[in-house]
Amino acid sequence: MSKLNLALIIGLIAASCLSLLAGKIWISPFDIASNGEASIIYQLRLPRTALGIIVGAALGMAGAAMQGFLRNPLADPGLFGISSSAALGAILSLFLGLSGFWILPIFALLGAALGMGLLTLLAGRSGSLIIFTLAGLILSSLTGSLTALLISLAPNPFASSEIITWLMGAITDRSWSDVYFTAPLVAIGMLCLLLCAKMLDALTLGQDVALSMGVNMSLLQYLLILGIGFTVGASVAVTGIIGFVGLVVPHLMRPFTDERPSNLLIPSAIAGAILILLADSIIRIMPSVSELRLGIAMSLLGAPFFLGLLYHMRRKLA
Amino acid sequence: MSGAIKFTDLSVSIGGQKIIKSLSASIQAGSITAIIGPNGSGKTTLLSALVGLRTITGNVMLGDDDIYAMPSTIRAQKMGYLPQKNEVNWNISISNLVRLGAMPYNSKGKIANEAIKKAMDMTNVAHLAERKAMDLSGGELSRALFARVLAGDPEWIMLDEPMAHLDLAHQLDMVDLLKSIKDNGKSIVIIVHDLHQAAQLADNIIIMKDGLIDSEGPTSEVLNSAMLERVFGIKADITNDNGALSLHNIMRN
Repeated sequence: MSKLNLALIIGLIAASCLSLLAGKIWISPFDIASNGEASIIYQLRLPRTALGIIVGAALGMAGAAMQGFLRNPLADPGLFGISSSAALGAILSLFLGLSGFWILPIFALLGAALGMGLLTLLAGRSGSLIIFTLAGLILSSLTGSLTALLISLAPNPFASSEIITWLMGAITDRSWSDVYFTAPLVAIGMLCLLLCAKMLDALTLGQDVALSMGVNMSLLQYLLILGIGFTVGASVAVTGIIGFVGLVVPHLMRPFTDERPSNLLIPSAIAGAILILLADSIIRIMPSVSELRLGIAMSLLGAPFFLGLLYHMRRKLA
Repeated sequence: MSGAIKFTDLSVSIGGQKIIKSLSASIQAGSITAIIGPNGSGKTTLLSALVGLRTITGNVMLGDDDIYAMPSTIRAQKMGYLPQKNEVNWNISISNLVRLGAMPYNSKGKIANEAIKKAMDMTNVAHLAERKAMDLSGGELSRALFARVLAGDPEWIMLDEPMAHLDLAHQLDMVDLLKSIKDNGKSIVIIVHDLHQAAQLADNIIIMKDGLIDSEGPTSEVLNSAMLERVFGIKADITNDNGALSLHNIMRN
């Protein structure tokens, strides 16, 4: 294991401990055996922490794979339109007023699957990056406008408020069943993305060289659609849209690696998990009447991050 | 050795326009073949079609195997391709860049390490191993990218203007290197603009004009004043000093 991954795992353990202990009620590490505290940890904080790790890892790795595939450090998993397709599916279930065990996540997954199918159809078998990106943009603009349509047609103010709140993304009040639902799907997605690693490395030298080195571009494209579909689709299904993780985390990790896309996948997954856990712990202990949504917190963190990046780039260019 | 490259009725269209038109020829194994011609004559399209990168009509055979039907990894093991443009999208180290060349073999460990070290020594980039790709000059990066091709130890080495970014000394080194690679039994197909270099390097030449093959054959036969006037619109005297061709008094027509 590389030093970076080891350091990140230690960071992840620390962030997990913080996530288990922090909140409106702080739990002392010496009290975790007592009855009340044990149930808070087991029923509330442990599934929330587990979900934070799963979703953070999924989004972090998906972002790193996307940036490697598009060879662009500004690429984000949202660009493919998979997260907005999943969101559209979820919102449809809220719009229709359907409720029940796993109904919303299943609708979200169906949305993601439909998005993946459409993306495959639109992108065709060419394996061309430009067509693929444009297909993703078309898909995300279509699903975005349909989402807006559903909000505007919502049968009552409660439904539209519920939809908007859900869209903001959170891992509050999630249970073990959400963890069981997400974990296997994210694992499949991450496996698909890891299978892309070497092909993404070859793409570093451009599409023609990658082809000449034996990379099957259409296979790579299918694996990526599956990988992003499962990781991002399953994450959106249980948490709503949490932006910026997939964009920011690979950026943060890149200077610590050799910049090879294959070297960035695992560190981005671990760092994504740490980032979500830290952000979620911070919003839990913030003094406010109702909890800040994680999706909003991430966006609030993302903007200054990009300001810093812009400042750094301007100094470099000047 | 896998035999000659033979292409028949080879056409490539890009955006509805035929870039190369029903070309047929064969390229001998174990030799250096230069593709020359004016800008826009279809050299790069022909080379990339031979490597299996384009949508083609007609066929390209390598020995008895169809280039477009063989598994892409096998093709990648047989043919190394260096495009014209130096493209490196992430700031990876030169040793890792060259290592990518061993990818078609999926190999790790000692054998790959030796091939990589040898390739870096041959192209004189061993001292740059720990430097980052984007910190190098154009010429240094060209050599590193060529080392990447050599690291895969392909039988066929397909090069699109590899001298474009090199200084004069490294161009001369490259000419020597290519000759010694050929002497070690490899086959080289190379696009060159400098007709002097083509004359020094190539055993055979394919001359392209307007998407067609104007002429092809042994360098001493096809490289002549009439061809230069017809294809390039230039006048020049060609001297043959014991098989070493050189061009003098080059003028625009």
